Amino acid sequence: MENIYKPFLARIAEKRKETYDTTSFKLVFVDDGVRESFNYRAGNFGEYSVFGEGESTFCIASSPTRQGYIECCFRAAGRVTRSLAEKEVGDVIGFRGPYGNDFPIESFFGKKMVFIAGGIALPPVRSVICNVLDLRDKFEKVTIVYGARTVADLVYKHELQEWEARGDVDLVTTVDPGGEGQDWKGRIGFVPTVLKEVAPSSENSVAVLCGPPIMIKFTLPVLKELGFREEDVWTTLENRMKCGLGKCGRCNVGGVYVCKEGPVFTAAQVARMPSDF
Amino acid sequence: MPFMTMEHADLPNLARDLAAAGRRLMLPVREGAELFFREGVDAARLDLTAIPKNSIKEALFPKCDRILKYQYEGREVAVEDIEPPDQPTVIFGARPCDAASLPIVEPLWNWDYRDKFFNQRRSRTVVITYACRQAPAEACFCVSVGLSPSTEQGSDVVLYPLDEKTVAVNLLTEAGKALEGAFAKYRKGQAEDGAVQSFREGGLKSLAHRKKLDKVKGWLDAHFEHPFWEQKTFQCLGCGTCTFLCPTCHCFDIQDESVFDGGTRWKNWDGCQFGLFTLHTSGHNPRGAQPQRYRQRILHKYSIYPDKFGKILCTGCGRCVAHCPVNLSLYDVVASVQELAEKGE
Repeated sequence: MENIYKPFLARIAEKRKETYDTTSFKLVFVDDGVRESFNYRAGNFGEYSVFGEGESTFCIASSPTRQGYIECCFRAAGRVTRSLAEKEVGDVIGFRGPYGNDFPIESFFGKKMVFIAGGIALPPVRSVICNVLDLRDKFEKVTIVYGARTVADLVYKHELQEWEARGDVDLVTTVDPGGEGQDWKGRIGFVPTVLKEVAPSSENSVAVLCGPPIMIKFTLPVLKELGFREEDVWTTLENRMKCGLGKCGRCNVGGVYVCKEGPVFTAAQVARMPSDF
Repeated sequence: MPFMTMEHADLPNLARDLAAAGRRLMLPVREGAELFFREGVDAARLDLTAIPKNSIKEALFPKCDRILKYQYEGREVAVEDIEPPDQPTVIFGARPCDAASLPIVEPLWNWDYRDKFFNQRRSRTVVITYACRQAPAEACFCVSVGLSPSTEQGSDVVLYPLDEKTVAVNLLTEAGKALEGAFAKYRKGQAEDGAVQSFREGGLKSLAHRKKLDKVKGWLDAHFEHPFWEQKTFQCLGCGTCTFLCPTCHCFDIQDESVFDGGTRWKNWDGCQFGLFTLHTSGHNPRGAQPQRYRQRILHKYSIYPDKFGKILCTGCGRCVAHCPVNLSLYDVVASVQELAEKGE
């Protein structure tokens, strides 16, 4: 019988220091067969391991439209992520996945897309953004509102510039008051406030929202005010996990196992969950 | 159909025969004031006088289980799979509440992803259950969760100790019937259905005072937020004793242990009563207070698991009741929920 806990080996092909505490990797599976057959969808997550330190859970930050590799982005915060951040290009780590459900991208075809992310929560949204941009003609207007505490906390800065330069993406970046540097050209203000100013149309629109719980809490009412139905607001829940397989017992919110029934939920689904997250 | 009988005094001999045939044997033995299920001990030490402190789950889901090995060679890593033990195993003298836990947890270990470490051991394990003539402990409440002191669920063989000397033998499954030869050696006579039937009734009678818990799930589903949780469970220390002794609790952690350039990845018992269990990297904890963690345990056992797999994740073995250091009885908690539901509160 197959060992469900055995990771694939993946080599770090590119490493980028996104911020003072955040790193992103481009990972290529060591095994040719895995590299060719590996498939995933935007929203899926994985268990990343540094052998000798353990495993850590985060999303796949790349888009399945770009084959042959996966990307991830993480903050060095605990034992595993700190040692992961010390790994260099050429080093080998472990990856188990893809796990969980995903964003039903096809059901968003023909719609306006509004992406809202805060801080380190851009990576899960970025997977959807890249997926949408790679199929750009299938969608209407694309708006991205991305904020962080300070300029230094914004991840994927190189990509933000690319999105900014595109004529078919409306990118709004913002930092919390006091977090702006001298050269900051973006907005200053909390994400919910800025979203209200930007006021994207809710007409034939889907919103994808990821961020710290406090940001989610204050952004949902703004989306409602703008006319978004709860069924059209998508988010991911990021509970602590060990197995990612529905067995280890810690990621459930009431009766919902985030690892198997999530991590992607609509705001309507989240509203029905008990206050256990 | 009549059952074969054997002498109670021959049970250790039978256990020894089964082990001699190359099987791994787990059986209850006395260590100080308590009984424990142990492996690799002399079958002569078999002690069936009480319910052991630990459950049989560690025969299939060990406290610490190796799941893979890794070895660094420079920048490269080699990962080696680990096969769970293949040896046939006999659990001798399980109580019905322990045997019943196996089919309860099986769907969890096979929920879309099949855990070979549990499944391989399960497929090699024969459970010989020692049914309870009387409830063996004050804490027993198997009848409240739809089981009984002579439940057959999860057993391959059930032994009914009809009296001090005589044991009736019920070979239930194919795996159990395959042991017929070993049992035949000790055959003494036979017992009629009626004798086993009155044994079963006697066991049930000894737990007649236990409540039905049929309204618990409905109440739990409607009262996630309720002062009851804090009032009733505030005394919980979060020590996790209940989770470790429970035959159905199955939460685990995954940890690496290195020696120089290589090491082992382990699957270790964990428990929902620990604050670290759900603590996020950010410092946020979805279940940051003990009553929330206690509620999670009750909800998981009596509502979430039944919704997912159609079974209550509790066999009423009473270990969590008997060994809680602050006498917070799970039975008392769920019986109180039943009372609240009956009163419509």
